[in-house]
Amino acid sequence: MNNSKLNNLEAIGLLSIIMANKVILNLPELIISSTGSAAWLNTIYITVIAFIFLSIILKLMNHFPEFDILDISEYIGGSFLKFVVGIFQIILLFFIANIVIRSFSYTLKTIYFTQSPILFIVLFMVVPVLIANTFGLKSISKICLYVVPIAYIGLVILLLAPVKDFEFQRIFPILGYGIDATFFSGISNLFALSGLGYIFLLPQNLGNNTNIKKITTISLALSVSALFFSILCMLFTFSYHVNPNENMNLYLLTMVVHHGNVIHGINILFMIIWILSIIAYISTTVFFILFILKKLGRLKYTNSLNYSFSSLFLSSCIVFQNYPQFYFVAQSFMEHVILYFVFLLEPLLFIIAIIKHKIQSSLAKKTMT
Amino acid sequence: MADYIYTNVLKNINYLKSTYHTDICTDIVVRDFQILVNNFRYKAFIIYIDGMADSCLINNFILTPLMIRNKANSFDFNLEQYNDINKTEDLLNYVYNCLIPQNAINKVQCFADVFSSVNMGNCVLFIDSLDTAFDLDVKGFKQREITNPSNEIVVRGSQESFVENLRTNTTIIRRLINSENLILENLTIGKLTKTQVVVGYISGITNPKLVSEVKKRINNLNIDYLTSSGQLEQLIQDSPNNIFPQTIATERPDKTVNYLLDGRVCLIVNGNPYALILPGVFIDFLSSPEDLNLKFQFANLGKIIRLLAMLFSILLPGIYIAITNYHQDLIPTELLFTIAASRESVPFPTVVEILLMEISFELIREAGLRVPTPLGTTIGIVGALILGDAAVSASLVSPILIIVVAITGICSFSIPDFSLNFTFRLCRFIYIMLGYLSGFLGIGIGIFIQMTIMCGMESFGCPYLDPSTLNKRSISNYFVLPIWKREKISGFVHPQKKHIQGKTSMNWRHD
Repeated sequence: MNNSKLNNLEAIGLLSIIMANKVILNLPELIISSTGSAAWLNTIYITVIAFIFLSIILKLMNHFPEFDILDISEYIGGSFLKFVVGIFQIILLFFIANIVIRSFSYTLKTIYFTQSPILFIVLFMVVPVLIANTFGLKSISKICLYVVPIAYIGLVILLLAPVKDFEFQRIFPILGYGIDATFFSGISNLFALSGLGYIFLLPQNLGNNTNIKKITTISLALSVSALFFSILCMLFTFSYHVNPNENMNLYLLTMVVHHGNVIHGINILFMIIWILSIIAYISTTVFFILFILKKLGRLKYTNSLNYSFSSLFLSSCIVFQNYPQFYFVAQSFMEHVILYFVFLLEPLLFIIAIIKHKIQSSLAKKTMT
Repeated sequence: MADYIYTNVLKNINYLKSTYHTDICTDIVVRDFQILVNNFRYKAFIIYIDGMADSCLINNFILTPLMIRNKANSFDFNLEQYNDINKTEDLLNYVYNCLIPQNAINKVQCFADVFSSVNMGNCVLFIDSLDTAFDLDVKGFKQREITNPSNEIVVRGSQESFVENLRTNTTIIRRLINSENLILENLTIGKLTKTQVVVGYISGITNPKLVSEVKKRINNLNIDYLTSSGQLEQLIQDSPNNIFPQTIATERPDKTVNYLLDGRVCLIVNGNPYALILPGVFIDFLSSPEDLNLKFQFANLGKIIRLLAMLFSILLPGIYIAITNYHQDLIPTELLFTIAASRESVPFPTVVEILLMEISFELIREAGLRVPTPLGTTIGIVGALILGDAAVSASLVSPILIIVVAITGICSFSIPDFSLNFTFRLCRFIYIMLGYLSGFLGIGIGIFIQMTIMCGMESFGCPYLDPSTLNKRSISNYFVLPIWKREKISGFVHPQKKHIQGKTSMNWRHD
């Protein structure tokens, strides 16, 4: 009676977790540090671009409703291109998951487990990912359905709690570090919404492809609103000159939440919510890695690959000797690669596929006549 | 071993006597006699089990009509024995139509059916020259009266519970659902015990695929014995190794009926006072039968309390360890000092302390169940008060820990389902270890893994934990709507019809 495809609600939960988890990590701080007090303007700007981008890719995908990016690559360049794009996608997803695990584990180590080795914390993150992928995407998406509302309610509480400490004049100067930083070089902050790239892998996992527009629009709206309000809240609470912590700046907001003598130090409760959402996100990423591998290798089962990838995660997360080394690679290299891949290369592949399809159709018509 | 009944009555007697070991089994009664039919005399005998069949019924409605009131057919010694094949058919019909004033009578031709009937308390009549025996329903064994439910007590609901007798249980259900669409199918499980199992559902509501899946699983059980519904539950559930209950076990007929009306299937095992309802999803195990009898505000208050109790019963000891070992900043300063002061004289680390108390609590609970009822209360009081107080006085545990364990224990008693209670007891120990290993990180990971397992589970094809499939207008939901809005059947069972009642149930309001 049950099937393994996602229904609308599950797909929204999944995409929201994918796109919103960066808010939990260091994204608001990254945007604020690059655009200053204009971070909120920059967020609106990238939101508009993201929605335009979304409508374009949905139009492109309309031509091939059942095709994901691998099918498109195969259509254009045969198995070779499919293989190349697939491997590239796997590497990117692998790095994304790695960045998230490592940076979140590092934050946990800094705050709570100063005496514990990072391996111990990473191990705790990898085991649930392994178990979640044994049960599959349907199970992960159902967890997302529970985690997303809790995470958003937590976020709302977190954003409302420091209202009394808000300094509204902190949004001045309106243009922060200037027009260039806000609107031109600031476009790289689109990385914040690179989760949109998962849409290219979604079609075959959806129960009903006709609702993809509704699903993606709602998910994007949820994610950008979380990002926008987090940035606004951060701006109002802390001066944008202050760069207090490169990791989990929302954590700083939790320190502000207190009420009388009883409710204080409840940052750990928010941390539980974030742990759930981060693991759900990593599980989704690993699922898509396995999904691509399954398609590339025409495999029936991926359980053994799941164990292998989990071990690989565990070992790769501790490759870097220290966090700055890792942070440099993550921020300076991967962000740009992901940005170009998601926002340029993947739509380009769809455009080429459409052109090829049109040429083939016209050729076929000519042959018929 | 013979399959079919012999036409020679002596052969039948000898075969049955040897099969039933009547020389050592004194409760097997074989009573032979003669009957007269159309002036012919035939040897006949009945076989039944003493204690299972009603002697009065046998005497008054089997032996009397056959032996005494049959005088009209006087025997003439000049006539030949009645052995013509056409005449045997006349004999069969004559006995069936005229000599046995019984309402429940079957003709059986193979010995397997004879054994099955006799073992169930029926009486079987054999007549010479016939290859058919008469299976007469004269069950009359002693059985427990219908009593109040002992484990699922409610204030406003029905006070009837199921009993061990299958037919009594089906009767109770029939009385509550006065509909010809209520189907109660009989199946037999176990090569040795041949246990009767009734599959109940409402035709026109329940998904036929669900019914066939249930019957398929039952019919494909290759087992020798089945003595309880608990065994059957383990044999047919989707994930037998999973610790979460997947079928609802209830002793309440009204609960069973409510779920039947919600498109579920029920199974009743002969000899067991618990019905199984399937599929069972997680929220069903947190629902009390009282919920549907109360106003929705009261029912929802109860549900919220039960949800809180569920969280406390699983997480509280783990959270206590996490807070005291890793996240002390969460505790108000005054309370932190109190906890620190109370632990000052305790020589053990918190984890040892809490494991000690939890295991003691489980021991008290187990002992309370095993000892006779009057002593059970005493054990509880002795365990809770005297042992707890003594443990604190001896500085084995801190007083605050007693409070934590006591709250956990009380919360675990609030879980309405017995099996889920066991599951949570087991989970609690896992969370204690996770909290000890890595504080709230471990607890968060534990919650994620538990949710993954629950979200990945299915009960007869229905998702076990899936908020997107729950219908807020049905009885299976986190919160109960007013009765006039509970018009839908749970969507996850894919019922044949979506509504159980009309959109407007209170027509008088619209007059």
